[in-house]
Amino acid sequence: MTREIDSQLAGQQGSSSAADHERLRMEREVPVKAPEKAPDNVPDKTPPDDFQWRLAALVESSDDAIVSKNLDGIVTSWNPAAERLFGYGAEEMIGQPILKIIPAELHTEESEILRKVKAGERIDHYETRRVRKNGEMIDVSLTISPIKDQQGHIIGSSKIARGISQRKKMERLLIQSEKLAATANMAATIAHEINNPLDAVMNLVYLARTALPANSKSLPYLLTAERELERVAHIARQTLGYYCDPGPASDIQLEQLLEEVLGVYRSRLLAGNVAVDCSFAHHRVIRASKDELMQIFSSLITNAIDAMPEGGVLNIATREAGEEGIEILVKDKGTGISRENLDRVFEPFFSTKGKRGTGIALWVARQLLEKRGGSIHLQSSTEFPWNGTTVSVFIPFQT
Amino acid sequence: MYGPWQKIRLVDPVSPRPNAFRKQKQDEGKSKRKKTTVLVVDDERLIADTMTEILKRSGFHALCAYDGLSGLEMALEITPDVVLTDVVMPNMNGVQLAIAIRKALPSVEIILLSGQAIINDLVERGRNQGYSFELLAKPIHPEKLLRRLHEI
Repeated sequence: MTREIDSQLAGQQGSSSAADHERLRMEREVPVKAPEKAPDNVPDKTPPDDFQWRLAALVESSDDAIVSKNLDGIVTSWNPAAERLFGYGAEEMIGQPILKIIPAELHTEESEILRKVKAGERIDHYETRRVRKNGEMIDVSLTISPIKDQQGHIIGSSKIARGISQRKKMERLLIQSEKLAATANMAATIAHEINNPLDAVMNLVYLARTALPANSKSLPYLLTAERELERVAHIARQTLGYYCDPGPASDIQLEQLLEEVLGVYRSRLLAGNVAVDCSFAHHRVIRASKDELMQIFSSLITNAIDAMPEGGVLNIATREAGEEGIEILVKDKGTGISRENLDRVFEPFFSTKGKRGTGIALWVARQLLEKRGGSIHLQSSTEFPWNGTTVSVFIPFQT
Repeated sequence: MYGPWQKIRLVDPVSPRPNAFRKQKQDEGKSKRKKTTVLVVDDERLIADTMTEILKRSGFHALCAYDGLSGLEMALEITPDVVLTDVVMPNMNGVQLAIAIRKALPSVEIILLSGQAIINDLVERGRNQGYSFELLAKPIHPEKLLRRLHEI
C-alpha cells in the first residue's frame, strides 16, 4: 500500500518531484499519531519506515475516501473514510471489483475511467453517483490518477472520492427556490395581464346582455359567455393566485363547498366520462379559508380527472376524524402513481403529467393545509385491479 | 358558482367610523331616495368606464377617475358614499389613495379591487400603518359587485 501511495502522490503531482519533497518534508512536521497497529489492508508486511507510515497515517486519517485499484478495476486498498462513505469495510472490498459501488446504469463509466487511466490521464473533480452498501445513492466528486511502479509503468489507479450529497442537495434547493421566485414573479405579472382584460370583458358582456330585450335570441349566447368567463377567471385564480392572501377564515359547510367545486368542473367531468359518487357523513361546520379549500379541492379533483383518461368513478367522502377535525377522501380508479414517483409528488415542480402539469398543485395544497394544522396523504397503486389513487385530507375544526 | 371574494375587513384603529353614523346616513339616503354616489378609480380606462356604466344603469350615481391623484381630488370635491379603487396605479396607488380618503373623509366606504397577487405587499404596508380595507379580487362578476354595493 505504501508504495502505491508513494506512486499515487507522484502521479498526482506530476513530474515536479522537488516540490513534492518540499511538501512532504513540511507534512512531516505535522504531528500525526501513528496507527496503533498496521491497517489490515496493508499487503506489505515489512515494517514501514517513518516517512512511509506518516504517509499511511495521512491516508488513514483523511476525510476523503482514498481507494486504489489495479488495471482490472479490482480494489487493492480502502481507507477508513471510504468505509464511512460507502459503508463497506476494507475486508469486504479489497480483492473485489470496484463495480460493486457503481450503480448498474453507470457501469460503462468505469470502463471509460480505466481507459483514461491506462492512457496515463488524470480525471479531476468528476461528479457522479455511487451506491452505498445499504443501497442508498450518493453524489460524489472523484479525482482519479494513474499509479506507476518504479519503472514508470502504469499498474493501477488511485481514487479520491468526496461525498457531495449535501452540497448537491443545497444546489437543488437553491435552484428550486430560484424557480419558485421566478414563478411567483411570473404569476404576478400574468395575473395582472390576464385579470384586468378579463374584468373588462366581463363588464362588457354584462352590459351587452343587460341591454338586450328579455326575448332576444342573443341572450343565451351572452349568458354562456359570462359563464365561460367565470370559468377562465377561476382557473386564473387557481393557477396564478396561489401565493395570494387567502383572506380570513369563515364558517364553511364542507359538502356545500365540494359541490361548488364539482360544479366548476361539471363540463370537464362530463366530457371525461367521469361519474362522481359523493358520501358525506359529516355535517359539522369548519372554520377555514374558503379560497384555500377551493384551491385544494380543485387541484385534487383535476388530478383525479386527469388520472382517468378513459373515464371512471370519482369518489368523494367525508367523515369525522375524532373530535379534532374532518377527513376528506378523494379517490379515483385511474392510472395510479408509481412507487418511485409517489415520494416526489409533493415536491414543487414535480409533475407526472409531462408538459400539461405545472407540478405545483399538490405542493401548494400541502403547504396550505399544514399552515392551518391540517395534513394530506396519498396512497396509490398502478397495479390492476388495485390501480388508482386515494388522497386523504385532514382539516382541523378550528384552523 | 362562487365568488372571488377576498374579504379583509378590519376596523381602522386610527379613525373608527361609528356604525350609528353610517346607519343614520343610509337611512337618510333611503328616505330621500338619494342615489348612492360611487367613485370608480382605475387606470385601465376600459374597466373604469364599463364599471361606471354598469353602476349608472343599476341606479347609482357613478363617476370615474383614471389615476390615484385625480381620484383623490374628485373624492375631496364630491364626497362619494363609496370609493371603488384599483390598487396598482400610477400617480398614487390604491392603498395610498384609500388612506388619504380615510383620513380626510372617514365616513366614505372604501373597497379595493385588484387583479394582481403582488398587491398584497401594498395592502400589507397599509395594514402595517394601521389601515385595513376590504379587498376584492379581479375579475369580479358585475352582479357580485352590485350585490356588495347594495349592502352598503
